[in-house]
Amino acid sequence: MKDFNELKQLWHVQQENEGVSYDAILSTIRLTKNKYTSKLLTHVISIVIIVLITLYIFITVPFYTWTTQLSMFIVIICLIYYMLVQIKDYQAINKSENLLNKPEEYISYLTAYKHHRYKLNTRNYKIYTICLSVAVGLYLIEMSFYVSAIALTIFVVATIAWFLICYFILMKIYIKKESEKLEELIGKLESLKGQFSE
Amino acid sequence: MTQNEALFKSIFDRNNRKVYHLCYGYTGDSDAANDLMQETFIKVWQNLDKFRNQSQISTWIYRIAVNTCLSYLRVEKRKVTDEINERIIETKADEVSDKQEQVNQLYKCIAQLEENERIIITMVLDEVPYQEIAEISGISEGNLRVKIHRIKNKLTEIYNRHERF
Repeated sequence: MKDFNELKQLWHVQQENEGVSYDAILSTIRLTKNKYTSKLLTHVISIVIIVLITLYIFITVPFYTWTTQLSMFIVIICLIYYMLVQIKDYQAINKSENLLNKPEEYISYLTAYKHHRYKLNTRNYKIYTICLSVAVGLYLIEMSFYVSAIALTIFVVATIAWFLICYFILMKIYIKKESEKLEELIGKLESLKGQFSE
Repeated sequence: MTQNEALFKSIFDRNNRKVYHLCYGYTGDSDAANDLMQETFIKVWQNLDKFRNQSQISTWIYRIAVNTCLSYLRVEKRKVTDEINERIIETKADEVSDKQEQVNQLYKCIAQLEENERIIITMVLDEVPYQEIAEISGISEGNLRVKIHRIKNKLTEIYNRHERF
């Protein structure tokens, strides 16, 4: 049988942790920074390349209708928006004033953040599907000038079927999974918050 | 070494031990504790500019460490590492000293407390003044004293229950 003071004495004889050194942390910081920078750079370069290729196609290919250019424009806007949101979000969670808040306030912030991520992910998925559908729909107008009526019908039916599957099956599964994950997290955060309330 | 690196090194040297204790107490797993400690100091580095002109650095570091621990919500991962950790502890049992084994046991017992209790008791064991613990945890000092009394009893009871077996 030990009393608390004995546990305290025991606590003070514990070995030094040698798992993480100052140098290791500093090199991780550099590595993470480099990794993040190169990831960001890859993203930006990819987007720039896509935009340049699209611009080239815009200028050089004589389209029958302006709707094709509009469909390209929609896809590019979606890509750029997605990239900006990811960067902003990454910066918000890592360099945040909230990190220095009292635990109860920080948990509230985390809860709000998780809700925001959930909304963003599910809403963006919807917007992405809708935008892509519109873009493909607009491109189909162009296609109608090139392919036969039967080929066009098959393509339209296949595209509609694919988007219906995306919207009513895949998206529902994704949202359900995300919502379960969110509920589990919120449940845990609520219980933590309760522990730090007066 | 840049000025920032020198400041960071001094912060790390003075606080890494306590931060590790806090993270180990919170997770009950030394590997996860190292991960959390690393995460904490990365956040310290990223927010170093906010630290300037702060008088109580340990409170500032502890806040970041506590909040980093609180955002450690990877339940599934933890279960797996717990199992692995159990196995590692079992196989290494002969290698570690008897005292260290008791310390490991103490950490396991701390990990059985509620999350806020784990955070508070590791700070108590590290002899952080009550006023500072109250400041870090956002709990009033009066309420904290009551909590600490209860946690001490609870931890002692859990430890002794484990020691009997």
